[in-house]
Amino acid sequence: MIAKLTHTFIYVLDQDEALQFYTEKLGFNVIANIPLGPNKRWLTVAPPGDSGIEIVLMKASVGPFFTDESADSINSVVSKGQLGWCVFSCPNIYATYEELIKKGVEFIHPPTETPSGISANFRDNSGNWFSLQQDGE
Amino acid sequence: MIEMRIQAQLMLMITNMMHKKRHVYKRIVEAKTFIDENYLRPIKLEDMMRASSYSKFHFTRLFKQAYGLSPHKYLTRLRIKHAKHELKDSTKSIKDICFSLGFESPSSFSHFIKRDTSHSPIAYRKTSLETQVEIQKNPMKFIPGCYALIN
Repeated sequence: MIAKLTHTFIYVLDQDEALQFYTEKLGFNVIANIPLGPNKRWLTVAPPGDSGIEIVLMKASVGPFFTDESADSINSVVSKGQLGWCVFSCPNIYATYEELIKKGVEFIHPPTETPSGISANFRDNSGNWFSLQQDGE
Repeated sequence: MIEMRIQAQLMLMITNMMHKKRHVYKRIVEAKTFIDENYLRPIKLEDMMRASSYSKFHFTRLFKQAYGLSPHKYLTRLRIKHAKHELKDSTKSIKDICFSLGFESPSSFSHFIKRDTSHSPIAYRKTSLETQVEIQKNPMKFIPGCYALIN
């Protein structure tokens, strides 16, 4: 029986820049930052609410998972802003929206009433987009 | 025609509501930013309130609505986070860390650290240092199975 989800992956274009974005703009905590060789590390973050799930900020590069061509394709799709990964929740979407806008986070959609509640969409500094949903919606 | 007018009215109402909410929370965000930038100083509720321009009652209520915890608890959370970094990454004494972050006494500091980490400050520092040494020695131990094998 599978008991729980522990890690999820987000492909980013640059791990240093992503680390800065996720900690300084989104306020996430660094869970692991382990060097794995030149320009490569195991980097995980999590929202301060601690859901128990670590988000691995990974750079698609040539190696056991990807050929050069596949890594380029992934990086290209990410930078074009075509990949959406997770839904984050917050106690109050208007406050979170104001705070993130103030920090320079790009929103694709401002908080909007939807059939499932109030939600918004923003991007990270690689181009990945995310949904933001108000708790209890 | 009537339907279009109703729709336009509704859109206007929603837009106005959105503007009002944005204005309310802009002021709360100002206060949170003030806390984020000054939590290492001995700030008081009055200082945070001033940054929002709300009365004490409204400020506390709106802050809790926005962030799910009171301004005081949020301030403590930031200080605990900073204290954990200091315990892990500095050689400062526990007493120094405790008082520099505005905790009343080493016992209240110990209580907060224990509640957050399940360890006393001494034990947390020791465990963190041991983990750091272990990561240096055997990094793959800290990376889930298949990823560790591949790397």
